[in-house]
Amino acid sequence: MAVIRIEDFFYAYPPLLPEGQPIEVLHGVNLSVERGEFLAIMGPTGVGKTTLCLSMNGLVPQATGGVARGHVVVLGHDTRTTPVAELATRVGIVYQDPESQLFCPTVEEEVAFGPENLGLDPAEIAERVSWALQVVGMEAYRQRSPSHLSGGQKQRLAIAASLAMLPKVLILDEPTAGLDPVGQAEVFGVIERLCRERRMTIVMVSQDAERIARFADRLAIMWQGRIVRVDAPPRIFTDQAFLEEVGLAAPQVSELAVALNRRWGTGYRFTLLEEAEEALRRDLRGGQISS
Amino acid sequence: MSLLYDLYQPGDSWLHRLDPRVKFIFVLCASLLLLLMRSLWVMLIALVGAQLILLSGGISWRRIGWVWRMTLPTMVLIAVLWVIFYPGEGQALLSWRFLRITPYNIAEGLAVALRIGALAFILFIWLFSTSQSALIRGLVALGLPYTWGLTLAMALRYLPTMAGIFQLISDAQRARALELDQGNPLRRARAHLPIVVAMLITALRTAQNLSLALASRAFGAQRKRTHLHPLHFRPLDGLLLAGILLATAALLWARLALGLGQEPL
Ligand SMILES: Nc1ncnc2c1ncn2[C@@H]1O[C@H](COP(=O)(O)OP(=O)(O)OP(=O)(O)O)[C@@H](O)[C@H]1O
Ligand SMILES: [Mg+2]
Repeated sequence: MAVIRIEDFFYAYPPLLPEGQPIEVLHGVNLSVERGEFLAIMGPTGVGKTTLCLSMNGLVPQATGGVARGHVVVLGHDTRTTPVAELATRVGIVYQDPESQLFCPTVEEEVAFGPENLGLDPAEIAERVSWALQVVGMEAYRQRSPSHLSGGQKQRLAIAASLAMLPKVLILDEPTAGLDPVGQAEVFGVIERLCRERRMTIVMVSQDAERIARFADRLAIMWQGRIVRVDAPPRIFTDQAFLEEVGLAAPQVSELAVALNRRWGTGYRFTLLEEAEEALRRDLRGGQISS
Repeated sequence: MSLLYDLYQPGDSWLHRLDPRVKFIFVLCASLLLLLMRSLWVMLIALVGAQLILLSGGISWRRIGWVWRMTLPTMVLIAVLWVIFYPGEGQALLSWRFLRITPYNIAEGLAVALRIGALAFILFIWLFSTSQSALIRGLVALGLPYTWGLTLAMALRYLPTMAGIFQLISDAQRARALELDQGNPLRRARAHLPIVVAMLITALRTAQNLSLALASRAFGAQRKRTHLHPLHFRPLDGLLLAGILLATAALLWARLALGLGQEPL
């Protein structure tokens, strides 16, 4: 069963000036996400990735206004009519900017904020806070101020704050953009664990082709306000012509494959470093390629 | 500077364990009494008492020193100006033109100055020993609407962030040859305009993102909010509160009916 079903979803932001034109962003998006899958979304800047993410927890259009047509259905709830506060218990979301999504004085209160809004009793809140902090490996930071954490820790905390609502789906909008390599690895470590160990449904916008190739089950490409292709990451990353058309970069090893194929007429299609290493070692030994 | 953003000193003293509502009411009562009285002795007692409360509550000398550094210049200034501009009654110690210095106006000036210090220290008894969230939870429990409390908490939370952004933008603009410390004050103020505009845009964007983040964590769900650490009003808190209210009532009566602490000396 599809956990998220998006059908012909059209959306335009309200005009910035009273007499202006609505700003059309999504032009008929179709997408479905299966239970327990890790779907990555890639697309050029300004194509509407964030807008699409917000449509999955109802903030678009409920908080942003504007014109929406079509349907976004999450776990059987139409996000245009179900109150955002209610959707929040089903869909967790982590935004790109850590600074503006962490607003509490301490780490534990940050995680408790959502459950507190639900009016749960303190014992239940405490249990959820401990659990969520443990999942992201941040128990040791309970009393710290979120503003004193590193970038990677901030995003892990933002993930914990979402998890405390016990959502079925987690949406991450470029959570590692602007993080240093250590922070990126931390965040992906947590996301991978959520996938593997908890079979959580994950939708993640990212420009990190290497890690998408490694972790994502499927990759959706967004282009000019639509999802133009959904496929296994290796198949997209080895389709050079398509990537060039939509202006996206493949993982570097895939580009290496393309270069080698051009030079020697080989048919490499690897996207992961290990795959490249294995294929090249085999072929070098077999004498298929030589300088 | 950093203390300003992080007043709370974590701890587990009697002062820390006190219900934040009781501490807040104490601040109100003590301030009211201090504002009604003018006696130098009362101010001295309040100032010393506040120091004792802070120290017994495990507040560090560093924080106490910080309050002194903040208030002392103002106190000295007020005392001096008072003595100069409010000619005293009685026998003059020194008299020159409009200047008339008497023991009475020295005491009065000192009392007014010490009152500033006493008020500040009493306020910081509450601020140093109460975590930001307990502080706001206390205010909300006393009737402040939750959204106001949250707004206050966020204002405090983003103060350092905004200061950091201001620094960042100033440096960026300076790197592009914007001159901030040149020329007369008017010119300098004008030079800051691009920074203010950039700050405003950043603040607006942060505010917009923040409202989205709040909503996606079920803020505004039509349910009664609960809290991870609910406030516990212990019998001891009740006892202390009763003591504070009784003492305040008694002193108020003494002040109004008997004129206690009415005169500087
Ligand atoms: N609140 C808003 N009001 C009006 N227009 C907006 C608003 N938010 C975004 N837009 C516009 O909608 C378009 C898509 O924005 P969106 O943030 O969804 O793109 P994105 O793919 O996430 O881009 P990025 O890669 O920069 O994150 C952009 O042209 C943007 O200017
Ligand atoms: Mg975006």
